[in-house]
Amino acid sequence: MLRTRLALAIAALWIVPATARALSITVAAPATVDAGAFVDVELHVLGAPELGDFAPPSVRAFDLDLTFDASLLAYAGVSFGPFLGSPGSESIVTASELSGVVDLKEVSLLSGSALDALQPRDFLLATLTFQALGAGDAQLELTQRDLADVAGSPLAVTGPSAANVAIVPEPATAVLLAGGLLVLAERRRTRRRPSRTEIRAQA
Amino acid sequence: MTMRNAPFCVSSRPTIGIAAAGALCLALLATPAGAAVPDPVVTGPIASTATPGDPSHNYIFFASNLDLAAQGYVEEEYFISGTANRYNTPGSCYQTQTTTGTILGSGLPYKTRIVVRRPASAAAFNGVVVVEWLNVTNDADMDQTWFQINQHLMRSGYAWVGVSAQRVGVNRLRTWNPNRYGTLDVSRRNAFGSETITNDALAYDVFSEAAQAIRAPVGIDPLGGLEPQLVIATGHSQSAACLATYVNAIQPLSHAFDAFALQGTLGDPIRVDLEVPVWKALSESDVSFFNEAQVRRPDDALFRTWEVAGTSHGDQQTYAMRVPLERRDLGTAVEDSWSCGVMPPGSAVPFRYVMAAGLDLLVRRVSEGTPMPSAAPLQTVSIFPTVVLARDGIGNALGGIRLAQMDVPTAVNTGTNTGPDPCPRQGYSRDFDAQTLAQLYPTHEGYVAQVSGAVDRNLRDGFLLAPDAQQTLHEAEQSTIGRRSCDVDGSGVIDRNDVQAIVDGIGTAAAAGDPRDADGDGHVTIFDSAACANECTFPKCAACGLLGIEPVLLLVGIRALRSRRMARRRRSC
Repeated sequence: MLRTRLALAIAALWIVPATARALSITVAAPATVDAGAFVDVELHVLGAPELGDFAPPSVRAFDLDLTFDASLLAYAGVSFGPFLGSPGSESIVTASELSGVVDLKEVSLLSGSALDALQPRDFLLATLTFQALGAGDAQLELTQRDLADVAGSPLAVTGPSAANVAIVPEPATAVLLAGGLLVLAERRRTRRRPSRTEIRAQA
Repeated sequence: MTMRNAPFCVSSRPTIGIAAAGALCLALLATPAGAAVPDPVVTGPIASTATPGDPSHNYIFFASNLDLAAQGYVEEEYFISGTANRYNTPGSCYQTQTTTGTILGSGLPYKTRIVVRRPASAAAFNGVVVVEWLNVTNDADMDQTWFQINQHLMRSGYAWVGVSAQRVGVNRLRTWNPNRYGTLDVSRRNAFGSETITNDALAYDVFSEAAQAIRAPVGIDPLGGLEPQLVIATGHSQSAACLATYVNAIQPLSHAFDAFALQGTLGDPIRVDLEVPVWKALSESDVSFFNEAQVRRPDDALFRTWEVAGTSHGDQQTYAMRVPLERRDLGTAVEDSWSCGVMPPGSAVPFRYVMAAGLDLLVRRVSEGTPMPSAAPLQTVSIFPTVVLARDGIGNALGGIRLAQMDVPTAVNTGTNTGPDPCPRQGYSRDFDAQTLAQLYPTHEGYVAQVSGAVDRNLRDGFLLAPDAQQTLHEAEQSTIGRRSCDVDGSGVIDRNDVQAIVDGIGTAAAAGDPRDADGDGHVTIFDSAACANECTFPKCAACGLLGIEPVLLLVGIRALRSRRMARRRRSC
């Protein structure tokens, strides 16, 4: 019995740190957004403790596919974070969207030491902008998450990388709707009550 | 010699040239070509009411699937009929007769078809007609030499004529479409429809009369008015074997052809007292499997043998051309059933390049009297009782005509294979692995330079034509051979252009040695781009000459100024 407990404890020690060590990528988006409004979705690396904090190991490149509900969101653009170098000049970036999937790639052209000096443990990879099209729950999920370290070796990414955005009708629309409903209700009320002329005529 | 109307000695194509045309006149005036051959009756062109592949089969059997019109060519089919002699030749082409034939019987009626592919306009015709003895190894007429060199024939203005000379091929046509081909007969059928000749006894005169119909037509002209200056016979494999007997036994009687291009003979001796040039073009398979090495004879004024290293009797070019037509017209391809030791079978060395170069030189031999170059034979370990070719450490044959694909090899190419018939003579091509390639060719520039050297040698020796030389060089330049990992553009440095090219290629497959595939997993991925960015030659992966060299020079300059200043200070101290 004691031996079994000991084995389980050792196994737990083995498993727990492994889970804790895995880096993840979060998809950060506001919980609600008005229909017609633009919404920013941020992709962050949470590297603790696998990535260094302004120290090696660092991320040199990523290839991510963000899948979204194209009936509720329209892709509007992306800005890459500064942590792999100045996008376009110190890194090669590409972004394309097809059928509800945004494909983002960035490869840093900086040296390993320059990347180490740039990158905290957790940092922003990119910010994507969408326009909310209509009311509903819009799911966003990273369906491909390839991260490469400075030398080009894969970095394992675990944990979920998804977010949900509730799109609600915008306030102006709601106010107009309520106003319209009030007018209708008032009309009905006035129709039900006979007018003075009608009362006189009845008399 | 029976000749067409009159002066014909004009060549519109550079392959022969004006000087050659003059010599051609003299040559033809002195050649007794076609003297003893009667003119057959020509009918046609035979109309085709269906497009190739139509179940009605009312089209030319094995009609070309190339866009002939785009290259200024037309394809037509004619029937020819007449009477043939029967000779003391063997009933089978696989036995070669080496002496002049004697007529055993005359006046034997026949009717067959010829297929003509020719320039649509006389201005595009170079004056030479290549007459192919269609091959019946697969029990149906197939145009093997056309499959090999059709591009050369069309770019050079040759006319090509395929002749259904043998019984097997004609009988297959009869059953393939009885309405179209039911009247054809080279077996002298009796009133009951039974064959009275069950071998190829009539094939030789059928072939001679086809040449006569082309050279001096009476009535319908199968060449549509083109004026042929030379008529050259060709054939591959069993057809070449038939032509070997033709050269030895029939040509001395018919004088029907101006020269013979025998491609892939089957161990067929050729008589020494020739009247016209004869050129044997042999693959490795022909030299070893078919024992051509055992019947080698020295080159002389009229005879040449060229043996091409790394080539096989049937090769990838042949299959690429033949298989679609087999499937279209016969429903299945014989190649589909092959199960060879090394699959797919077939050498990738372009035998066709040598065939094309040799054909032009054969024409010059006839027209100008310019001797064809001789070629070194393939080296052998033994000839009797079995031909064994000498090979290098990686399995490629030594000696022979060596195209760049063999002289600067990136694969094992051979004329032998294993497995059931016909695998042993089909050869194969197997690419070297990435490690071997890296050892052989450490730099891309070095590889291309070696290919260029081999191409130059072959051009100089006459075994390669300029367009094929350019293609060979182009393929070498486009290849990934010798490219340093990550140096995608072969510039010698790794820069952002290379990384960009890798990023652009993410998601695609990578062949062995592809410089984009830094980790060698067969795919271009983000990890390859990252690995290569880490290997950049200059800071920030700057492109050489733009952002790379200048900072380095600047740094060097600054350092030089600093050290000068320091030296001055030291002096002042």
